[in-house]
Amino acid sequence: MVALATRRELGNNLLALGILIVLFAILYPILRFIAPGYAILLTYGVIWSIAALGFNILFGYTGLLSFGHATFIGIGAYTIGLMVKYLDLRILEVGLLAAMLLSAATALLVGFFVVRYSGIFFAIFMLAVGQILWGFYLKFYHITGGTNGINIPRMSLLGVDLSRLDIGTYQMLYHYYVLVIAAVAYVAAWYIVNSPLGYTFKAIRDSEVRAKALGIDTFKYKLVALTISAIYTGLAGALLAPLIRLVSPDLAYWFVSGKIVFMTILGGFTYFIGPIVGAVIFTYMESLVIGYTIYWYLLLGVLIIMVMVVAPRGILGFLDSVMLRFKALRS
Amino acid sequence: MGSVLLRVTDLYKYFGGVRAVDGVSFELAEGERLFIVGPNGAGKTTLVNLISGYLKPDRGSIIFRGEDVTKLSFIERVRRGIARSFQLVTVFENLTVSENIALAILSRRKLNWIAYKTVESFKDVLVEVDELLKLFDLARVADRYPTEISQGDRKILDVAVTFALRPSLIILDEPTSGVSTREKHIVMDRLIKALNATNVTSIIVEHDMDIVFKYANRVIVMNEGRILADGSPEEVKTRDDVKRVLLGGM
Repeated sequence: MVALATRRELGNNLLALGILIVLFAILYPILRFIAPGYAILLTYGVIWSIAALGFNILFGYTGLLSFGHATFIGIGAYTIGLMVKYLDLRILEVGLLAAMLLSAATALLVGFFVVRYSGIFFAIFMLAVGQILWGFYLKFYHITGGTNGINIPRMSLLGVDLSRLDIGTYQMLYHYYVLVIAAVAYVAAWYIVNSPLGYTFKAIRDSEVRAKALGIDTFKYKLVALTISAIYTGLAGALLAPLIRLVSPDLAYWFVSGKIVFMTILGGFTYFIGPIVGAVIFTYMESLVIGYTIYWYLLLGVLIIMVMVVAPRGILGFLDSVMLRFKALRS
Repeated sequence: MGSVLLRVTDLYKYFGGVRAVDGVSFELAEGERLFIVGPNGAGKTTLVNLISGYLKPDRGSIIFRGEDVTKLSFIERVRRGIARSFQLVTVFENLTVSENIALAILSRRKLNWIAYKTVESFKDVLVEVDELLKLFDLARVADRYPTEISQGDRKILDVAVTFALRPSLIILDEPTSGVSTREKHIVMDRLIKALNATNVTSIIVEHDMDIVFKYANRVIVMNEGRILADGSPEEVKTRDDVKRVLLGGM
């Protein structure tokens, strides 16, 4: 019988995911020991990887580029913020669930209008949606706190009140909490992209007309892709809130959308684990560059151009080509 | 031949002042293999676009299996059993040959929405993929991407994907276009073998007269949006007006 999986791209398997998860688990205590400031960046990286992975279901697999995914980061973060501010509810799991539901609902509503478009129209439409919500967070300060934002206290994790723990231990516990959620999100995404649904997304990306000729309702499936990616990004936004401890309009700004796009491209959007690798590396890269110079925007721009020129298929694409050359040399 | 599968009545399609399809009517019985021929701009592709639902007619009706499908969308017609391939090969370039076929089978079975099982775990789908790969002689390139196979194999893959939908009516728009002269008969042999094996009703748009007269059992000749002749290859090729249009007066 024919085997379909023989030509999977580099890293598109559960073993690769397992290795990454174990690496993120082991790396945290090591970093905490040798360079404490860098340990928390790993947690940020893992959270951003959830957002980038979700974004890539829409971009890499379905072929829809969005410049407005900060929309869902904002929805996720403000769900936690508003829940704390108005309901004094500090159970994070409730917030995560609400964030995912609200992100999904927003994606369905926006998507109903936007997935009729593709290419630059889709990208700009999403950007506009993001900016509308950013304007709301900024100007409706009596609800959102405006530029001051909303302070987030320590949340209870799995019903356990952690407010008395020292900050280091709390951050470490939070890292593993995030990692477990990320592991579930990674595996779920892997199933999605390798399932009939994932193949349907790829078909729409390759040729929407041909997909229709197979009887695929492309409108419906593009809406599904947007909703899944929104759930992932919303979840990431909700996980960011307790770590940053301040929910402000910055999280929903278009720059954040650009960051998600770049993380995905940096890692390699044609590779399943590319966005995960890209998100973690970008988080460290950004932090290092900011620490080095006040001209970090400039330096980051140069870095982005360099990546596009040297490794247009991202880090995974670069590794893939190196491995192929190595194999060719050996044979 | 069986009962009437498709009835096209008084079909019109204008593009501005151009009459692409100008009052076309014909019937197609179950199991028939119809070739549509004609010079460039005769309206062949527009006609099959109208039948498949890719374009909407300005006037006229299309009855398929007794149901008026004239106003149904492209996707709805696929679901009712009208499947087509395109003049330019349109396959999914980032899926392997076997994955292209698997996706068509999954679509036919309405399994696209499943997200909790990998495609590989659908063993019955893989068995069917295997059968189609053998039927179309694509097993040797099953694991390759469409960009890695010959143009002839790409054309065959396009047809195999359409076949995987198990349609009642299959429409193939110039299945040998862009294929080398040497490959044309190989492509057609494999295609006709599959048509015979499945006994599916077919409409094939073709411009190569050697191909048409070798494989057709019914031919419609179109010119300037109208049907000029309709009959067996032997009947059609002896007509002077057909010779004039197709062979430039020979």
